[in-house]
Amino acid sequence: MAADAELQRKAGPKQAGSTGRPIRFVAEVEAQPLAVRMLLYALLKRLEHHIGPADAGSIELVLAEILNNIVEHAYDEGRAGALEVVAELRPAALDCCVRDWGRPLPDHAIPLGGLPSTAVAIEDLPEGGWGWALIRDVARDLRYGREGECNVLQLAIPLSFD
Amino acid sequence: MNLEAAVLGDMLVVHVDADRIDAACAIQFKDRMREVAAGAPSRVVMDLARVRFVDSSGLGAIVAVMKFLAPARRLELAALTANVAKVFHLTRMDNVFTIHAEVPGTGMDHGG
Repeated sequence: MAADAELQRKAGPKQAGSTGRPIRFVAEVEAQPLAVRMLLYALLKRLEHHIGPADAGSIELVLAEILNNIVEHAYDEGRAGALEVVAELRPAALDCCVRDWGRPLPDHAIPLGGLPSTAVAIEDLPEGGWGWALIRDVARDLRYGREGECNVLQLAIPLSFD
Repeated sequence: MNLEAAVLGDMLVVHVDADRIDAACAIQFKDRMREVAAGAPSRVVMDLARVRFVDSSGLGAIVAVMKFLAPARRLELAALTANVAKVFHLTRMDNVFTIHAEVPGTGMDHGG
């Protein structure tokens, strides 16, 4: 992987696709918080010479929210299954496909993701519920479906190369 | 997770010595904050200069800290990195917290 990144760097512009060979990342891990963290580290390592820090932040945030949702909601605590991430760098976006084999999203639909209200007393402030709002804010072209027992979520994360 | 706390005048400054507050460490972060903030003065400033990533679980943990400090003590935040500031902005939680560009009264020195 390191040699690969070195070759890409020598080949010229950082922009994806400029060398003709797509930058791809594929990983399958157990749906656990630490495994999610390691997957995100590995993905950002794979992309580090091709994107800027703002893009890395967007990718890490969107995928962390999606993968944490799978850990917390698709599987039962202590009985985790697998999750899979396939990502491919395009000229202006990172295309992602996330699969898991847990329970489907409620109503088989991507949640609307409204922001919880902050106009409340301190003791009533939300301690969660921002995940889908963040995902919808940053990602584009979200599509969800079931393939047999598998949840499939596809999305694109726009990149600015800043 | 390593938290370094120091009393500075009327405030307790807590330097978060971790590069992320995420789902994998949110509970540990809350527990450690509870320990270091026990007996703190009325103002607690959390220095986030070393934290480059916060997800919604980490944000929820920071809100939980604010809630358990209240009403006697007030939590303020300082030195948010760009990607962390973005999460506070997108969730509108930047309206809820007092956020300082740097730890008050310490200039750019986070070295303790």
